[in-house]
Amino acid sequence: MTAKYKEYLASAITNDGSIITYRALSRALKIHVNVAKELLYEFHRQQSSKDPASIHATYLLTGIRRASNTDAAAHGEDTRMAQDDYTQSSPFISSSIPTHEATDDNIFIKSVMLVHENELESAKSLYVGAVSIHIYSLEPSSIKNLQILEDSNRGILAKYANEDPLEMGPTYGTIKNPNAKRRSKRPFIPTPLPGAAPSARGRDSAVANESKRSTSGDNKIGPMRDAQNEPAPLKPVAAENGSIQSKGSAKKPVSLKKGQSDIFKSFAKSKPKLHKEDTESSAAASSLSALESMVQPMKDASEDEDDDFIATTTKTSSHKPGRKSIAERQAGLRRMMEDDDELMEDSHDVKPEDLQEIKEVSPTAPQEPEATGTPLAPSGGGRRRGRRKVMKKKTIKDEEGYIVTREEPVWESFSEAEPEPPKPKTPTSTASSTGPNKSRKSAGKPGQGNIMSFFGKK
Amino acid sequence: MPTHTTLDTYQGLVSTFADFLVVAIHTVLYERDIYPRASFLSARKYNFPVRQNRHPKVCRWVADAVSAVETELLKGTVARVAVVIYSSASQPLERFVFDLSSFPAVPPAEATTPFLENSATVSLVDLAEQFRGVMQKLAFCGSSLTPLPENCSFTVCIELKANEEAPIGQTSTPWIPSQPSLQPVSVVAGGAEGESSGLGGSGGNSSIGKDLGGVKTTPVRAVESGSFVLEVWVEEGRAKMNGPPVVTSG
Repeated sequence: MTAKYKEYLASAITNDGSIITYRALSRALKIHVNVAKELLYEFHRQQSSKDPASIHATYLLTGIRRASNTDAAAHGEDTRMAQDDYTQSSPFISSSIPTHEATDDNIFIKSVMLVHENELESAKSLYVGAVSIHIYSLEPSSIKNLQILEDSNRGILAKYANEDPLEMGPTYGTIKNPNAKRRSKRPFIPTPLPGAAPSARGRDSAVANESKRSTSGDNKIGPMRDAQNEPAPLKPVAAENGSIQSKGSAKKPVSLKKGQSDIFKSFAKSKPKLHKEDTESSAAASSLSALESMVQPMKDASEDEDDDFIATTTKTSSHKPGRKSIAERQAGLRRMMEDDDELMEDSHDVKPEDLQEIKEVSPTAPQEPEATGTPLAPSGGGRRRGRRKVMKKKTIKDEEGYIVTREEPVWESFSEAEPEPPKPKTPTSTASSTGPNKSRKSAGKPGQGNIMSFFGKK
Repeated sequence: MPTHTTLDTYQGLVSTFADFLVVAIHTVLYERDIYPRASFLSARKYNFPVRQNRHPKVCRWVADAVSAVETELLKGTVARVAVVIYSSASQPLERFVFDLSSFPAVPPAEATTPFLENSATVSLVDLAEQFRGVMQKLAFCGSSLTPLPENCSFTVCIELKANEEAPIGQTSTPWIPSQPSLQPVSVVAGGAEGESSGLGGSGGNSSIGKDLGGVKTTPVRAVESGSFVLEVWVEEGRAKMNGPPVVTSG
């Protein structure tokens, strides 16, 4: 690998005229960054001995220097306009960590500086004690705006996004938190929470983990995660996914926890149903016990992936066979859309069936094809599933999705009232309560039991 | 800047180019030290760090100039746009030329008509990447060009296509004819070509078009995506190569 570095650097710098940072070189040649720095140095030495004007190096200095030098060093920043004594020379970009802003001679600050090669000596003299110097980048000629060097990282992100940072970390020499561990199970995060951030992060973990599913148990939870967080904004995920996969695992448990605690607060009464619904609507079988774990006081994030989900997918998995196919559900959904008005007022057995199918379809439609969870449930599961339906439907943007969402509470409450309702029965009561439930969406969730009883009288 | 991912109207091409031109002009001002480096702040455009001048008058001037260019572009009369850097003696030293002659020739009434062919539509993502390339190359131009003297000034010029009417003469237009040495030699006697009013203050520019093309041309980058075809290069003028006019003391 290292033998080819000369050709690589020559073609990239001399021919293409691009800027090569040590990080880009390490990714391209699959070598450790420190080796890359050495290669850059060697190439620079050779080229500048042949023709000094053909190559230019930017160095990175790390060390301790006196704070009184800050003014001179940081003149490139806008705030230092008044002390711009170095107009003709290239700016130092100093990302120092000063103890305070005083320019006292006795104040020392730790400073990381990018300098052009022609200012290397003067920059070195600013430092006190040992200085770490290495080449940051090589370019065909000197550049004025050193911030352009940052573009190299964007290129790296784009080009090597499919690499697993944990895998390639040791090769490249990336800094890794030894306590960080990748989560193989996605923690449970209900979507409709106002904290879109937790959802986004949850989705992050979902997407991140999706690429690394380990066990079958995880797989079950995975799609569910996806289903739940589907509506969550894609942008934060896309942006974060590529770069923070390894960091995310450590980060996410914390953020997800907050989400869960919020859920608990909002849905104090109907917690079990809420969780259940989430699980149920997931494509894969979600573990009921996992939901139950949600219901229970939040556990501390442990490094073990069973963190938020106790991966016992017993209950839900038993309902897998009950799941209708997505095609059926979608057909049912369409039928429901057409029969919309009728559904609102009447309560037929046929429509309710469609209704139920639709309910199942809407939350599951965006999910992955392997959806196998059952919408209605067995005893305890039924409640939770109903709840999940609520959340799912909320996120469905349908012109007639309005209707779908309205049904959520009904669905939920219904399942609560009758833990193990046969499917036909479920839609029936659902249909009857659908009509009056039009504007009850928000009210439905918190006081489900009450609403249900109200509708039941009708 | 259009928010969809492709451009399929001439107007879209023009407005995208106008956006790009603003950033390019600020970049040229920064790279050539027209204004003190400290007067520029760091910004991002096309996902790339760029420098933008902070002075409100500079910003306004550039914005106005670019919108005037855009107006002319929509009329379909423009062949090239150039940012010309003059010495303190009004000698053109450098020209940063943006060649638009390969843009589709669309009559003004059809500016919002979608393109017929799919190959003509422009991908914004692709364009953004190429614009990044232009910015990066412009960043290197500072070192490949010989340094400029102090107290240079700059302006924005448009070169019109052959036989087009120049947008001057009416009171409302912001354009004035450029110096004769920068006027293209044209057979058509119409318009204001050849007039020496306006900037032609410096001495002895008797030959028309003498400074066009420059003595040394450095290519910057070509941008091509669908029907958005643009070439950028830098011309260094004779006045720069030969040094400033010598002032002899008697």
